[in-house]
Amino acid sequence: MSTQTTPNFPTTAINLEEFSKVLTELCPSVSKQTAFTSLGPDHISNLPTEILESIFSLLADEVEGDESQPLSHILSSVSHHWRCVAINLPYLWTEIYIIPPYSVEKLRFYLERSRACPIDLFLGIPEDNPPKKEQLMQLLEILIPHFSRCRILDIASGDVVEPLHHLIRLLVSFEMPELECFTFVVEEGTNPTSQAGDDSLPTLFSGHAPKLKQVRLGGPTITRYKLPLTNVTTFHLAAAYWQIPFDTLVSMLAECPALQTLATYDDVIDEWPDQYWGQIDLPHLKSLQIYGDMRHVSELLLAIVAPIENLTVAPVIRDDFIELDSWLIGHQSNYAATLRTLTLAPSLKNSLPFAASCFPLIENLVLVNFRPKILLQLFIDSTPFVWPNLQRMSVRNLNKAAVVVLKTIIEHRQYIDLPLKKLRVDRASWRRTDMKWFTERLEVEIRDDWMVQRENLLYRDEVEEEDRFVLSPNTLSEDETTAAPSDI
Amino acid sequence: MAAPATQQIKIRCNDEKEFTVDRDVLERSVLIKNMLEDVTEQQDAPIPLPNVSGPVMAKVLEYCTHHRGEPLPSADTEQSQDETRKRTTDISEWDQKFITVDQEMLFEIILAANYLDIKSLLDVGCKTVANMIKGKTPEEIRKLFNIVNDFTPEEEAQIKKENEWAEDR
Repeated sequence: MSTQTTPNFPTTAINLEEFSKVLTELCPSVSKQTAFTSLGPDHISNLPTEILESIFSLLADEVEGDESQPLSHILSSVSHHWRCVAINLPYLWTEIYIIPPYSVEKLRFYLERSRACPIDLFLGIPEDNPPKKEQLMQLLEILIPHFSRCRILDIASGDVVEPLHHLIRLLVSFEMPELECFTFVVEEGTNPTSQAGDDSLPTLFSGHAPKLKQVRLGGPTITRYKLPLTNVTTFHLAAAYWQIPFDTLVSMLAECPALQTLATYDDVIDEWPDQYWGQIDLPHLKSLQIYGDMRHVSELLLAIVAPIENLTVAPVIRDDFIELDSWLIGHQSNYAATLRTLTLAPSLKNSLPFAASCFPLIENLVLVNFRPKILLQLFIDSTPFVWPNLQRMSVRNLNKAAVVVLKTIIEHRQYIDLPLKKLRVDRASWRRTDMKWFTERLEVEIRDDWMVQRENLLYRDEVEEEDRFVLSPNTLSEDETTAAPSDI
Repeated sequence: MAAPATQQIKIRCNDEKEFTVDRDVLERSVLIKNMLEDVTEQQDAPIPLPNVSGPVMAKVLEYCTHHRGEPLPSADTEQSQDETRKRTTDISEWDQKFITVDQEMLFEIILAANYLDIKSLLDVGCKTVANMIKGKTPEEIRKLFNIVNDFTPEEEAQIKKENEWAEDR
């Protein structure tokens, strides 16, 4: 009598032929020919495997990465058939989160199932739940052979840096031919003795990351190393207990000839020299984004020579543009002639007139927060009228007072023959506001421009951080956020 | 002068249901297009389509008629699109209305589009199913499609263990 053994439950990638064999052994009555088309009474199981693969592939393209409920987990937990299809699709397993509770086994099967596909690696080390040093070293040992497959390498940590120093020393010697996006935010409390821009510093990735387009850095650790920045188009610099001397910034940016987007967070630039005007030449820079508590907004704007089309200052305060405004008055310059879109999170009173004075030619205004009083003063009371070329306003989080003021502004622009043509509002405002009045007067589109922009930011998931950039109503006094009808 | 008459082609489904359709409408199907190109002489006999039933073919023809004259996707354009950007599950308004059918018909349309090689219709079907899956848990997906949970308790435990790191978050 022969002994029949139960086939092993598939936990790793097998080819479809093997799967068919396993299935036939599991269900002897199901012939090999019909194994993929007659698994159950449900209609979806009648689909050929390649169509189910195509559906999974569409989902993988569309669904945002979510470490709490990865798509690979969902699709492989439905049934045997779905599990086998999912396990045989390497791109479903390419998004790898190394986060508590750290698991060597899980890292292994993700790396195995992703086969040779480029991987997106997210390493998170929270200050309150760091891995043991040996545990992290073991994870790194497993990762080493796969570094060359990294498409995204995202490392974030609190002040837990020793194992990370080991990791980053490792990264010096590995080429990263697939790396497109590198994020390194480590909130280390100590400043380095050497700084980026120093030619003697070791270069990460053996200087070879030809596809590297996006770099996001925070904290001083990284300044002990150089990065291959030649093809970088997006560069974010965050303070995180760290400031970068102006000269170092100039050196770093000089290595980014292809830069199109530059974002700074908080007061990341220090040691401003007396002469900073026009020190940073970025011929392809289109978008400059200044977030958080930056004390030298005017200085940065005057230091950069670039055909900027989009400028963001969030939050914007009165002092931000004072120096720029004085400089412009003294120089009669055609400054920011290319600027078309201004994104602002107005905070205090009088934060906008200087913006209007410095950037008079804008066509699009994105208001991250709607301050009725401030806007009313700016649009109705100012002479001459602000922003004569303004075509489109993007607003969000509208309350009743904001709607009244917005209507007043739109009517006033029509009255002075400078009508707005387009209004963008977030979906929530659209739902709670009777938009008929607006749609009768101008083109209205549901789109939250700030949310779209926020998707690409550091700290994008952290409400508190966003409050810091936006200065949400909770952080302001009542009179800043509302306008009584008598004000209008 | 009158415009030249459009050639009419007869097809026969697996339930003997026959349709007479303009050639350009039928040629949305690469399978039928190739068949017609291979036949040099005019044939009166209907083209047999043994894998499609009459009601499903009627829906497929509704789609093909609506999209007649639109350029067919070529292998080159598909490839370059795949390389440059991720696909989305957006569906046009008309297609969305067209594909709002019961599940049995939805999957029959997908199978027919696959057999007849009508790429755009297959895309609409796959996107519709993808949209139905989006945001759902495994249990909700099983319920939606009436899929039997055929994992043993041991296998379920193993899957759960595999994903503990995610669920504990």
